[in-house]
Amino acid sequence: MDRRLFLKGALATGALSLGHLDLLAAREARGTSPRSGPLAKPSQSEQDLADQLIAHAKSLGATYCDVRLVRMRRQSVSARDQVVTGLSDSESYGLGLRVIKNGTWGFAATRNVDLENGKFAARDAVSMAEENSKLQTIPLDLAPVAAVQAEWKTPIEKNPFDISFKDRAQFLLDMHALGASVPIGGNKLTLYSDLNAVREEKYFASSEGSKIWQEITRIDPSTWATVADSTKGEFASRALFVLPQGRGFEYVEQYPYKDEIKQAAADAHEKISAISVKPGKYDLILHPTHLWLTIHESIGHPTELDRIMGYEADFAGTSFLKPEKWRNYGYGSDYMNIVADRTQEGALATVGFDDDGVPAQSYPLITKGELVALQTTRAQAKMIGETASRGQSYAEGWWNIPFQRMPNVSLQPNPKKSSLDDIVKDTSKGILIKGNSSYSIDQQRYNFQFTGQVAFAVEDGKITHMLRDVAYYGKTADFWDELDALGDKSEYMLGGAMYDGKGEPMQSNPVSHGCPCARFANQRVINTREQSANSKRGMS
Amino acid sequence: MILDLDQLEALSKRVLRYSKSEWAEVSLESNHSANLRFAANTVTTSGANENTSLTITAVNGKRAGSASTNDLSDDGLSRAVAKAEEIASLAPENEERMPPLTGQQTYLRSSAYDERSTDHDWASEQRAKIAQSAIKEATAHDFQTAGFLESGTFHNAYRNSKGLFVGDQHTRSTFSVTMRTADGKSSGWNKRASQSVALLDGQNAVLRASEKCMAWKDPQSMDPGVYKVILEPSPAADLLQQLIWSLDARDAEEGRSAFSRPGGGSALGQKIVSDKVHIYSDPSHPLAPSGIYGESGLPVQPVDWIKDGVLTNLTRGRYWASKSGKPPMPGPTNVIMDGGDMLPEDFLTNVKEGMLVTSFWYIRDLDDPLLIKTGLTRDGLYWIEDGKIQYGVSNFRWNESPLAMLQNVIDFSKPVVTAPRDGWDGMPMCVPMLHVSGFNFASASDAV
Repeated sequence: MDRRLFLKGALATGALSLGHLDLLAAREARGTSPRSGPLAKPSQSEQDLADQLIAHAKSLGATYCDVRLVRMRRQSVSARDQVVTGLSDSESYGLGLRVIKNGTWGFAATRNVDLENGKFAARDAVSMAEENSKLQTIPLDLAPVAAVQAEWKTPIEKNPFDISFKDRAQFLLDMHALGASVPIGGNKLTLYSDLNAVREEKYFASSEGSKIWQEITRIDPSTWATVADSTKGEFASRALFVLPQGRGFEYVEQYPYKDEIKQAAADAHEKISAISVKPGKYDLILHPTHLWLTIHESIGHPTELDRIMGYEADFAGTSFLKPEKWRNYGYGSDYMNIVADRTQEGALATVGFDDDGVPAQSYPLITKGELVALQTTRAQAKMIGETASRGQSYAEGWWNIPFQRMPNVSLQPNPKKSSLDDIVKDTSKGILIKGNSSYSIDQQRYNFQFTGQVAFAVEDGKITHMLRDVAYYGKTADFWDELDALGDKSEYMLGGAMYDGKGEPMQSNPVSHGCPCARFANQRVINTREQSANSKRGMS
Repeated sequence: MILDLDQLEALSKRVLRYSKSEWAEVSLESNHSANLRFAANTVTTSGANENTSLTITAVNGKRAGSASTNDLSDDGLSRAVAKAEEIASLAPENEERMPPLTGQQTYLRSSAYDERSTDHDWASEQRAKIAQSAIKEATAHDFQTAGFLESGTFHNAYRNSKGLFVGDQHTRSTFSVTMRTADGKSSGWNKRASQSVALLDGQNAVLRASEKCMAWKDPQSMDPGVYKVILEPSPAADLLQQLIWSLDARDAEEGRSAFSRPGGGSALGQKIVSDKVHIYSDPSHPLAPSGIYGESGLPVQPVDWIKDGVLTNLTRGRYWASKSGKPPMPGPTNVIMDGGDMLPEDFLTNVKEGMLVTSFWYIRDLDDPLLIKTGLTRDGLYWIEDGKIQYGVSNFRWNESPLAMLQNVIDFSKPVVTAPRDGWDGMPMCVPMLHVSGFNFASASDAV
């Protein structure tokens, strides 16, 4: 299918607006849009195998079938205190086959990618759907999607799998040597690093005629420093703000490691003797290295339709949003413009197509504080009266059934000029928090409590000193109502997580969240040291 | 089809034949798992999968590299070995790389493998029956139910090129069920885990979740603060796992742990919690049998972690053991906590007052030096007075340390097999209900 037809098919589903046409055009101009036409990969025999299995599943009575042939690749280098402790390469290839029979899902997966074992999987999946359909009370009704034949690759400059293990190991050793050069008063510094490269090579074929090849590359670096003062029996840690990205090794090379490794060691040391925070109400200035996770927990998850409908009630939880009254819900202040986007370059959840074969798209979730859309898959769209999926289906690997997973969900920057310095200058009693650390939120996403890697007192428009033991808690809607200052695009950064857990069995989803710095007025801050019953009773 | 232990043993020999390094080790696993999910009183996304994979580590001197694959063809195996050897040739020297274990090791026997649970068709029928009973119970009370049933068969083995081989196998089934009122204002939950599908007692779990949901209707708001609590075995297990994960000797002895002590050294041998507390692990435990080997094929032995309130052991990797002149201590594969004589179902009769906690959710670190964690109560919190549930209480966020929990234990029930909700339910646990004199509920949560 050529691009014109591809767009026509997408528009026919009602999923894309004219604004998204512009976006697709922009993606194409950058070479990041899917390419239509005959597929160079996977091999013809693999494509033929998928066709045969789909035909077999249909002969067993399946009304829908999709086959994913997925090769998961991962390379890791780990270091601790200038010692490379692990270097590994792993590869897992397998077949996941999903069917619908009697309006019910069935799914089976095997590492044996051949016709005989594939047919066993098809039989298992169909028989599972048949058996489970006896308990089915809400038959599946998939929203339509145009069939496509297309391929997509994460746009990267340097394939991390092409960088030699030797160079990757040396990179970590050099960084650790820099960190170890920071004076920390005779205390013990411990540095930990992981540098992971991950690639999904995925072929999706469906009984509706789609054939899609994707190569999704991600880079997942992390480093943290811990300083232990054995005299005091105290220790403190500070992770670098480097976060996983949907990019190649260029991200690692461009990241300012040299400065930040030294800063992290110095911060961890300073934290031990920093002033312990006085509990109370403060204006919180949240740096994007921290705010991305608050967005993930308090906006990303509550706007998942499966949670709202009770489909995750047993584990991940539901949502404070209700199926009958989510539209136009007042989520927060006018500064709040949130976009759901699987097309954002460099982001972890960015793909060409989701695991239902639906094209990646970008759409507003929240506009000027008002909720305008949710996250859906083909099996969910009609539950809220929509005619097309929002394209949020994803499976961790060949061994999992796809289900609704979060796209990149990002807070748009202030269109007016506004820097972090401007916001600090405008704050009389506040705390600036950078980096994410402890994060916890209830199963309906009301009550959250978060901490950062490092916090600073802001007094009369100036950052005055480091604080330790800072945590803040609040209620989602109240919190976003208090968003009263927002950084502009010069402050925008992309944070994210490789392993966002959801579902039973638990599956991981890589997802990014972009945002600038932002201020939330009058938030409740506690001192983590005073939190145990025994601390409160003066027993420790 | 997955491979049995004999086939894994043969595969381990086959892969090592390709090895040209000084020595090599291979870890192998072959698993089948199937699940049934339901929610909104209907079945949702169920599935089954099988896989066999191995990780080969090639070692030359102090240089090592690893490669994993699930391609078991001759070509796939030789490529994995060559990849591991290539990585090893590029690796810097790792002073922490330990030589292989040699000589005969003695392993415990574990009863973690239930033959009947490996019958996939039978297990599938049992899952469907349990799900059906949950949906029937929900429909009868106009509840909405959601739940998850999973059963798996796991074969794993380890071999090094110096002659050590060990194989182990286990089965594991879990069932978790939630009942919610149609208006979403009350919920109840229960969870079971066992090596045996038959021992899940799913029907009883369904009834317990349903009873909890009924008893939690119209919960009252109470002020945050320090309360006496009665932790059911599941939330107690969740906090015990948090404690167990922090028992690393190197962290403690290098000053990075709640078990570090000023001036250096660790809390080993010191009283750290109530002298009533005895926590141990034992792979051959009859109710919670578990894995028999750890790092490099080291046997997992019965170990007291806390006895009479005293910290008696820390986990110790082989490198740190060699450096500290102490024997290595693999991490536990199960956790057992001794308790009293009363059955959990009778335990409340002895409670004058306190808050009964059904489950914990979203547990994260809050203050590492004090081992303070944060999390929430979920799906059933009740005020107990004079041995009975008086009324439901709205949920709380809590900020608390498992050490404080164990320092403040007043009493406990007989231990029972349980599963953490937030933690790792692959770890068999046998834990009592705990009556704790003080537990910090930090803020209110509106969640149901």
